[in-house]
Amino acid sequence: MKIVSSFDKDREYLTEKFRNPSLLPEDSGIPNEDILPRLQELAMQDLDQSMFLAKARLFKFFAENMRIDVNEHDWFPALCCFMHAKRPMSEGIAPRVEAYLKREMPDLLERFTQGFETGVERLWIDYDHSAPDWDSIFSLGFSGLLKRIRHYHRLHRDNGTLNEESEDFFRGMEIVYETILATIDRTIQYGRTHAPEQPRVQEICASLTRLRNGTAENFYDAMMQIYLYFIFCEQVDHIQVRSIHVDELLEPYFQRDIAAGILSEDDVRELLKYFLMQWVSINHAMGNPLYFGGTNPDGSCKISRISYLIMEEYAKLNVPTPKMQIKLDDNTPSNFVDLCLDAIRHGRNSIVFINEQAIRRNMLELGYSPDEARDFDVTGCYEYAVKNGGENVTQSIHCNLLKMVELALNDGVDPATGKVCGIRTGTAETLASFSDFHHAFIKQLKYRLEEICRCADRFEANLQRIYPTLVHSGTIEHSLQVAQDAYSTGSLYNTTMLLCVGFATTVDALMAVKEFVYDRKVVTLSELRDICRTDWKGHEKLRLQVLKSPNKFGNNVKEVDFFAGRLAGFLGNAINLRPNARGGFYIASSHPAYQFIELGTRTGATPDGRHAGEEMSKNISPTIGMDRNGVTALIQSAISIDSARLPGNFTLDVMLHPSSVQGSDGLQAMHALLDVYRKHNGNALQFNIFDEKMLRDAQKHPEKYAELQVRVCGWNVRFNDLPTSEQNAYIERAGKIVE
Amino acid sequence: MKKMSGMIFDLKRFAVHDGPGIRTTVFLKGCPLRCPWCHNPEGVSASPELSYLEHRCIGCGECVSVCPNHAHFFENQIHKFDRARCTACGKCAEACLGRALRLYGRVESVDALMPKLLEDREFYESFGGGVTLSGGEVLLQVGFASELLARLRAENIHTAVDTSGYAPWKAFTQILPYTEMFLYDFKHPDDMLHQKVIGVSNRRILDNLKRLSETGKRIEIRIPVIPGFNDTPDVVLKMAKFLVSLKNPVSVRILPYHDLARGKYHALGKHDTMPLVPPPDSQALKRISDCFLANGIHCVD
Repeated sequence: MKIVSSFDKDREYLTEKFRNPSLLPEDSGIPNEDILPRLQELAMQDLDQSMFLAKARLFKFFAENMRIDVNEHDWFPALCCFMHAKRPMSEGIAPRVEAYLKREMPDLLERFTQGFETGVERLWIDYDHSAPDWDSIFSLGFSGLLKRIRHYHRLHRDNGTLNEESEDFFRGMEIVYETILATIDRTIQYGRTHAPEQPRVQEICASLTRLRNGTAENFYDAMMQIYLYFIFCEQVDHIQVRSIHVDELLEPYFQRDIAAGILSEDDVRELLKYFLMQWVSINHAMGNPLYFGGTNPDGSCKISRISYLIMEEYAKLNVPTPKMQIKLDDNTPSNFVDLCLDAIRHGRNSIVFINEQAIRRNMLELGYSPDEARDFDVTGCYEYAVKNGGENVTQSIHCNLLKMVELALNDGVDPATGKVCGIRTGTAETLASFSDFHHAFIKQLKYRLEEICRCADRFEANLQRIYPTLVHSGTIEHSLQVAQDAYSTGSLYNTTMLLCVGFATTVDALMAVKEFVYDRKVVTLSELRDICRTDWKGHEKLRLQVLKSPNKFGNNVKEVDFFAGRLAGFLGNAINLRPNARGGFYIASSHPAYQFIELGTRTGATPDGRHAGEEMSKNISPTIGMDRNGVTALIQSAISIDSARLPGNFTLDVMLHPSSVQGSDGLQAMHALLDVYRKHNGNALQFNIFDEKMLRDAQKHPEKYAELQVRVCGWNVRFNDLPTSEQNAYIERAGKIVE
Repeated sequence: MKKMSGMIFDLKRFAVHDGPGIRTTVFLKGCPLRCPWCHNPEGVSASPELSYLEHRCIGCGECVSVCPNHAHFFENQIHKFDRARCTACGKCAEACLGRALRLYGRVESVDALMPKLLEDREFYESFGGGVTLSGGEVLLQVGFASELLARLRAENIHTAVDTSGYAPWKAFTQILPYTEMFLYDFKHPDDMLHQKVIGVSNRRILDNLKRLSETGKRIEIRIPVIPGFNDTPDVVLKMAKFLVSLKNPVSVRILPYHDLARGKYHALGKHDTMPLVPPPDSQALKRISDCFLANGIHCVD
């Protein structure tokens, strides 16, 4: 295979590919802007038809009419080139989904908005966390997957195990996979007729032909297979493919091509750049994940030569996405960890470490088998699932923990809206001891968790009727065997993650009540309630005293860490293994996604000194600036909690000043921090290397810092893309890093 | 063993450039040298001192209400601080809500320090970390330092001492059994210039370094590169030649001058002695490390 180095010349095209529809040739389909209204029109026809067939019908129209391209600036065809946030299939079908919900569950739609208004919870239907069966995709190819779907369809028909719904499920999948094959045919045809003289275009067409009829035969095909599956699944199912074990998938093809002299390492590096740039161009706000490493059955590590090449090329590209997840265990080569740490300290913050030992322990405790626990898929930001589509994990529900403190202070009433959204636990005047107050908080929390789960159970029981996943399900054999959608009830494990938002800020608020109301008696609980209601107006001195108190999570203060452990314990007991509506169970998570900001804006001032509307802490990390004893104390606080209580996610964000990670000492220090956190079963750790001065300068002169990245919460963004208010939050955070 | 206490001005966890691995550094107060570029001016005096960062003052008035000597007061609603009245009792620093006031210098016993130093024990274990004593000049409080080091060694914690070398050899002998590594400053090879700029002769420093090298202890030489003072090729070459003449090899860490500590002088009410020169550029630093390398001396980054 002849690879001519041309990446620098093509980078501009690659960046624009998915962002700029005017790059697509006019003769290849109808304009992007005309697709959406046509889809929406189609979506509202035949409302009696099942969602399976409606989606399949929409995709067929979409695929037959979208503009496509195969050109010499890329090694991958231009398919489904729409801005990520404007995916036409998702937007197109939205009115139909809404119509369904209005018809079948009218109260639920109201609940979605009401809980969010008062800030107690955030509920949505999550289709963002699928992990397909890559083994099936690679061993069968698209045509083989279609054959298997047809086989099971026939089998169920012959056995009399089909009902109207499962018949539509199979028929929908068949239409979708037939359409995928037809789209590949159309792309090949386009490339052959429009650029017959272009060697690269012909290579692309040859690879597409192999994948159309069979499976990947070489390294380039393997990358193409990942790309095509991602692109189609992303469009049809709305699902971002949230799990790609990139080094393991590519490694055998890499080895073979290098040994056979088909590709050199330089060729591979060149192709990898084009591969990685596809996700750069798609530019999903929360990043698209690729994961590395893992443990073989013999205990050895899966990190291989290709892992190094991908990471090295990624570091050179200096891009915020794809986000890279590194599985870490005793067997992970130190020099690979150092390679990642070095990239991080040079601004590639989009790399997170996933602790295999901790996740193994969590999974075994939750009842998974030792093999499942050994070789899990990393999904989403830093979550995990049984490998190869063995599990779907929805992340539909968020509970605002800090709001429960507010409700305990206000006898179940949200002070901002006046709505009763908790239960009556007694007015502040009646809560005579900290034990009374803590009890009131726990009662509010318990009530909310029950409410949220009841609500989630209602819509999750109908997931496949609301939004089936036809591409994803086609890869999961278990789903075909049981004739159920894989993102609903058709996976072996159908898990629901409950995201507990604002963990550390909640602990801080509880501790402030204990210290200032009950221990030191600086203020009464009713006074504190009134002060919070007026957002600390006229009480700035008290607020500063509260902020100055060392009793904040993240400082290795024993009493604080004890209460943090107690809260984690309560959440774990209340949530983990609770049966969900899909034959699976719930698990607790400290991951807030974006809700530490969104629900923060809907939460009044709180006893920890926080102003109304300010963001809360994220993951298992401290409230901004409250970890004042340095990073080792922060880690000690985090590991004082049993991470298995929050098995869904237990991620620590570690912020360091660039000066502390310089040189070989700095690299060793990062490595040592990682080691300690890992040994104590922290699930995941991500570093952010911040310099306040640099961030201030970047705000003033964005042109000088085009590539500067910051980590939000499991994903990266370019600093320049953030609104000023969020930039200021990062600057404030950086200013508080203990050097 | 006698229960010892010492005057310290800071304790820094996650110190990563004060010896190998992750360390906790204890800063001992008091120093006989007067390096104009000193970036720890709060460590020079042996007595406690109050630092006041004016820009952080939020006018909360807590200091005014707790100060027994009326060193803090309001004038036209603006907080004023009269350093002459201050006895550095530290009450105002404790009360300050804006973190504008800070007391440098507190007496700590070895018993009180030990649990704090052991908190990060697990972090020390990776990559040979431990505890470093720095300053100021550690050897000015040699009794306290040696007891602290001995207690740390008894806990099997790696110990390092960061020293200017300006102390009687006897002081070294007291800490030698409990010190596994020395971070040793080397500022200038010429005695006259050393005396003129730093205020003390370098003879004792260099003699001690020779004797220390003979003990076989691990030594990292720390050279603050001050443009116009010790960055010329001939000075660097003289330093390299001296280091090569030592009985055992040493590594060198080059510390480029910066003036980030200038604000500390103002906050402490001290005369700002920091040179008005820009930090050395990367080319100059490379030239210096190349010179050491050419003489067979390893430079750590």
